[in-house]
Amino acid sequence: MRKQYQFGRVQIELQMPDGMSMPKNMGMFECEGADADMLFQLEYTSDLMAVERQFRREHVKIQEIRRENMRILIAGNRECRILSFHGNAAPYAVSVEENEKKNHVWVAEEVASLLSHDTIFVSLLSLEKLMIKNNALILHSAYMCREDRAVLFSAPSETGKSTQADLWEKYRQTRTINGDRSLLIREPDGWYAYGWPVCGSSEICHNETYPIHAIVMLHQAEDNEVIRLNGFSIIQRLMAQITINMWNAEFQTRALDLIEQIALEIPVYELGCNISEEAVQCLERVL
Amino acid sequence: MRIAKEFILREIAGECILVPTGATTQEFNGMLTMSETARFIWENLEKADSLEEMIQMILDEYEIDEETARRDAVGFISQLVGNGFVECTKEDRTW
Repeated sequence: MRKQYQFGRVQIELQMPDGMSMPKNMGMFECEGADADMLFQLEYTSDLMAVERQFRREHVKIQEIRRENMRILIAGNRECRILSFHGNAAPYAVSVEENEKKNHVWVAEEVASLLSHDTIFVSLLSLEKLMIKNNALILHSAYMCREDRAVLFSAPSETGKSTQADLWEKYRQTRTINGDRSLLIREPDGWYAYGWPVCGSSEICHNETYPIHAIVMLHQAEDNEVIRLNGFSIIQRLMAQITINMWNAEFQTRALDLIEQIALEIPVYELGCNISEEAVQCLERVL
Repeated sequence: MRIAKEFILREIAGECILVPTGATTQEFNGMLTMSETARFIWENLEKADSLEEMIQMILDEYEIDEETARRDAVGFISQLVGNGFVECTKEDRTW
């Protein structure tokens, strides 16, 4: 089975076994035609360790980086990612960059039924790496459309991003485009929020693009209060919510450049809020 | 002294920051904001051959008294050594 998808400006092609499941969100990003920027060849295996051993045999000098749910083997400009579930040492997939245009991904047969979960499936594709190569950032945010412009609620998980977006839907008839992620791209005429195939537990995912009106960093508070952030405080807050491959200095530098540009060009607010219409009114006064 | 870890030093939104990169990201998350003197120390740490030389370099660069220069240098370098970001190169570990 071969299918093409587009995220922001980037097109990818997936070659995968017939019947391999994938999240339904992916269907919204399906496209046709032109050359893909990256081909992902997916297949099942019963021996993931063999893939890692092969990569190690093929490369003399390897740097290994360990993250919470992933190990990354770096050999020159090639990466091998060994993915595991949080708190579980055994991997469920291994991806190897074969060249600049092709990734080969092996998935453990026993996780076949889990591939319909967006976070698991999309993790196979290392898309954040492809995005930053194309100057696009993935922001952990609930993305709402208000008067044909994007307002992005950003905060750590469980703060209430999609809850605030829900309040706006209820009291101001806005629409939530994605409950958990947005893709940020600087077009010639300004910043735009694009849809993204991961939406976490919100299950709200649409492939729509709007110019960004504001980013709102959230924290829970008894009383509602909004302030406009400036300068370095924006950088600190955004860095914590943008997916950055911190082990790659080139990508880090590029991400910092883009974040600095966002801080200069998009109004960023800090909203301390509770779950009430008053929270909506509080933010509304500054938007 | 020798810088033992991988960092990116850059200015962003009017601040100078040290951001870990490469394998350093496994041990240290976040970033360090640096004063102007701290940045100067970081950039010249490997050029100086002793604490006294580092202090003299600070005095040559900034119009501050020796006590302040010493306090800044000892304070910042102790923090860097304590976190393992830099290592002493002299056997007696005075520098």
